[in-house]
Amino acid sequence: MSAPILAIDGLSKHFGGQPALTAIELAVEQGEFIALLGPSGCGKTTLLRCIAGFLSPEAGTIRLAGEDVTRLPPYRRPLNTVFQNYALFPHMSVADNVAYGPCRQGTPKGQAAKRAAEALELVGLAGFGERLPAQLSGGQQQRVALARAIVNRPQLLLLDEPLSALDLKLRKKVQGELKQIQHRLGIAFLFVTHDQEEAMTMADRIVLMNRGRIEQIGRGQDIYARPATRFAADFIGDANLLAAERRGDGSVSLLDGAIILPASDEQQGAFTGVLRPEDILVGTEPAAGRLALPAVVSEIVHVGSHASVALTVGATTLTARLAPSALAGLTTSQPVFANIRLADLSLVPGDA
Amino acid sequence: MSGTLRPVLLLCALPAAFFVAFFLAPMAVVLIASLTTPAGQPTFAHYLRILADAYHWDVLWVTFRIGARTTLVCVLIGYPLAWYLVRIVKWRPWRRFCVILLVVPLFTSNIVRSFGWMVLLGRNGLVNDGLIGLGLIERPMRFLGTELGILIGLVYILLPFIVLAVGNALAKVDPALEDASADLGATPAGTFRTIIFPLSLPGLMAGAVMVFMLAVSAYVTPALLSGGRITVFSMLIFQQYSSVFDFNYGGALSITMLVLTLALVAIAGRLSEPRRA
Amino acid sequence: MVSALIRIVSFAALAYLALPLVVLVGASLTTTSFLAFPPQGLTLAWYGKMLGDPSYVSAFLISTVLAVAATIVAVALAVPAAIAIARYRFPGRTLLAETLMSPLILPHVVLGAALLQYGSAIGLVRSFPALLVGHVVIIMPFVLRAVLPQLSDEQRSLEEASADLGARPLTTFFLVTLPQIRSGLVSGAIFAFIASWINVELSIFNTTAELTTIPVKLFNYVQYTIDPTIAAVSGLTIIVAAVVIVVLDLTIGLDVLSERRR
Repeated sequence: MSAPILAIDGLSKHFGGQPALTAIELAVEQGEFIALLGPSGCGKTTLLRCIAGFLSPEAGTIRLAGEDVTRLPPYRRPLNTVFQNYALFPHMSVADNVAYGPCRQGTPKGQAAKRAAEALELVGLAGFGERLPAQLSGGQQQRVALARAIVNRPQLLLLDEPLSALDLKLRKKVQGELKQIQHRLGIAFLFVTHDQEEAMTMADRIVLMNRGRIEQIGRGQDIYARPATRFAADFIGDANLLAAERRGDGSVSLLDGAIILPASDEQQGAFTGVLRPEDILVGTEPAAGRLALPAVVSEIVHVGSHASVALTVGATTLTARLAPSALAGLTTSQPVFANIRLADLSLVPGDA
Repeated sequence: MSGTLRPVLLLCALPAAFFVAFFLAPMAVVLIASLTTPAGQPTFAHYLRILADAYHWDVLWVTFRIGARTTLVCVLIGYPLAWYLVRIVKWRPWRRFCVILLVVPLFTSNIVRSFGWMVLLGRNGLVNDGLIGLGLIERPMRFLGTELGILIGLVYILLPFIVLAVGNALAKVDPALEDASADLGATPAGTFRTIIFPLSLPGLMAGAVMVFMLAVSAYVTPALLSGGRITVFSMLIFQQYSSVFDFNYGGALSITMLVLTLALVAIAGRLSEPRRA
Repeated sequence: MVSALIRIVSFAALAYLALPLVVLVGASLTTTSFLAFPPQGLTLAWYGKMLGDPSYVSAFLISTVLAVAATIVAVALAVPAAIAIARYRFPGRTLLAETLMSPLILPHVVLGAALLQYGSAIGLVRSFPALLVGHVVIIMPFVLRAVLPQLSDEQRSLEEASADLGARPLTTFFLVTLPQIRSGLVSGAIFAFIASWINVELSIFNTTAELTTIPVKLFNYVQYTIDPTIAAVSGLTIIVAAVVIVVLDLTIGLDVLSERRR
C-alpha cells in the first residue's frame, strides 16, 4: 500500500476569529474519487482552497504524496483545480488556455500545444482550440476547464462545484463523463458539491462536512445505512428522526415508550433514533417478525415512482415511502399499522 | 419601418439639428476655408505652406514629442499608482481620500492647476527651494519656459485619466483567474505578465490614447508654462484666429492637427487590439 | 520589494497631485503682497479683495449661469437622443451616436476656432448665446455617456409593462424611465457642468472684456501679473471643486476603484 496522495492532519482555519475549519483529518488514496459534501458555508470550499494553497491554515499540515506542502504557494503544489465558474482566461484561445500549465512549467511551445490538443481530445473538444472561451457553451467551457486542469497530469485534481452552473440534463451526462475520465487517467479527484445525489452517484467515498468539521467519512451507502451523526442521517437521504430517552434501567425509549431498546453503554448523553422511510411497512394488519405500531394515515403524496405517506403515531408524525402498488385501499384518516424492524433503527448522538 | 421612424425622428430631430448647426457646420466651414483662398478660390496653398515650412515641422515635432513624453510618464507613474489603489490599499477611508485627491484636479480648471505649477516652478518657487535645500542643485533651475516645465504641468493634469482608466480595468480582473493561473504553476510575476497585464491593457491603452490626445491638443498649460519660449501647435492655431485673423490658414492648421492626432490615435488603437478577434 | 517600489512611486505621485492645490490655497492666505508659500501670516484679505472686485463677481456669475444653462440644454438634448439610440434600431444610428460623442476627442482649440469662424459668418460671436452653443456641444457627450449604459434592455420590459398598464409614452418616461436613469443623469450632468465651468480653450474665442468667464479671466490675468488675488480666486475654485466631489462621493459614491469581491 503506497502512501496516501493527500494527507491532512489537524487542519484549522479561522476567518476573523470565526472558525471556518476545525481539526480536519483526511487521507485520500491514489486514484480515489472523493466527494466533499455539505451545505453551503460548511467549510468544504475553504478546505479545498487550503489544499490548493489559496488560503493558509492556522494549524495543521497538508501532505501531497508524502511531501509537506502546507506553506507552499499554489504554483509550487503538484495539483490542479477545476474552478466553480471555470475561470477560463478570456483573452486566450481555448488551446492557449489548456497549454497554459505546460508553458508555465517550461515545456517548449510546440510540445505544450501538442499536449493541449491531446487533453482537448480527451474531453471531446478536438478542433475547438482556436475559439475564445466566450464563444463556447457552458458545457464546453466546463470541459475546457477540465482539460486545462488535467493536461499537467496532476496526481490530485480538485473540483469546486464544477457542475453547478450546468442544467440538470447536462449535469447528469457530464457526471458520467467525469467518472470515465477519472477512471481512465487514474487521478485522485476531490470533488466539492452540495448535492448529495451527485456525491452518492459519483464518489467512491463521501466526506460529509458541517460547520467546519467532518461529520463522517465513508462510502455513500454506508453513511446512508449507518449515519454516525444526526446531521449525517438528516443530510443524506430522508430520515425520520425520533427523540430518544434513556430510562432508569439503561434501556432506551422512543415514541413515548412504543419502542424500547435494550440497554447499551455505547451511547452517552442525548441521542436520536433514525428510521428511513422505506423501512416502514404500512398495512392494515401487523406484519410477521416486525414491531407493529398502531398509526393513522394523515396524508398521502404521490411522487410518481413512489408515494410518501405521513403517519401519526401517538404525538409523532412518521413518513413512510411506499411503492404505488402497496397503496391499494389506503386512505387518509384510516387506522393502520406501521411495521418496523428494530434492526433498521439506528441511534446517533444529539437531540432530535 | 415608419412605425419606428416616427418616434426616432421626434427624439433625435432636435439634438441632431443642434449638432449639425453648431458642430458639423462649423467644422465644415473650417475644412472649406482651409481649402480656399480668402476670395473663395479652391487651393492647396495653405497645406503646402505648412508642409514646406520647417518652422511648422519643428512645432509639430515639439508638440508630439511633448505629447509622447507626457503619455509615457503618465503610464509609468499611473500604472503603479492604480495598482497601489486597487490592490495594495486595504483601508477604505484612505483609498477614498486618494480617489478624491485624484478627482479634485479634474474638477478644477487647467488654468488653476497650471497656475499652481507656475508658482511652484518659479526661480524662487518651492521646487527650486527644495532642490537647493536638499543640496541637489546649487543655483535655481529654470523650469518655466522649458519642455520639462510643460511636461510637469501636463503630466499633472492628465495623470488622473490614466489612473482611473487602469484602476477600473484592474478592479475588473476576476480574482479567480489569478487563482487559476497560480494553480497551473505560474509565479506571481508570471501571472502578472500573462494574465493581469493583458487584461488591463485595453484600459491602459484607452487611458494612454486619451492622455496623448489631450496632451497634443492642450493649449492653456503650455501657454502658461512656456513663458513664450516654446510654441506648440495649438498656440499656432490660436494665434491665427485671435491676432493674425487668417482664417484660411488657421483652418488648414486646425485640420492638420485634427488629422494627425486622429491618425496617431487610430494607429494606437490598431496596435492595442488583441491578436485574436 | 516590488511592492515597496510601487508604494514609493504611489506616495510620490499622490504628493505630486496634492502639491499645487495645497500651495495655491496656502499662498492665498499670505499677508504679503506677493505670492509666498509657505504663507507669511494668515489673512482672508485676498478673498475679500476678490469679492470686492465687481469684475471677478461678474465673471463668477457668468461662468455659473453659462454652466447651468449649458447643462440644462445638454440634458434636454442628450436624453431624447440617448433613448432613441438605446431603444430603436434605425439607419444612421451608429453615425448619430459617434457624432454626438466626437467632441470628447476633438481638440477644443480647433472647435473654438471653428465656432468663431462660423459664428462670424452668421453673426453669432462674442455673446452669451455664442458661448452657450459651444459649451453645449462639448458637454453633451458627458451626459450621453453617463445615461446610455443605464438604458439597459431589462428596463425596456419595465417600459413595456408601463405601456401595457395604459401609460402614455410621456407618462412612462417620467414615471418609469427617468427614475431608472436618474443616477447616471445626475453624475453626467455634474460632469457636464464642471466641464463647462472650467473650460478655457473654447470660451476664450468668444469672450470680451465685459463678457468673460472666471477661467478665461484668470488665464488672461496670470499672463501679465501674479498676485495673491489670483491665488484666492484659484483657491476658491479648488474649494468649490473639493466640496462638490465630497458631496458626490457621499451621494452617488466615487469608490470606483473599490476592492474586488470574490
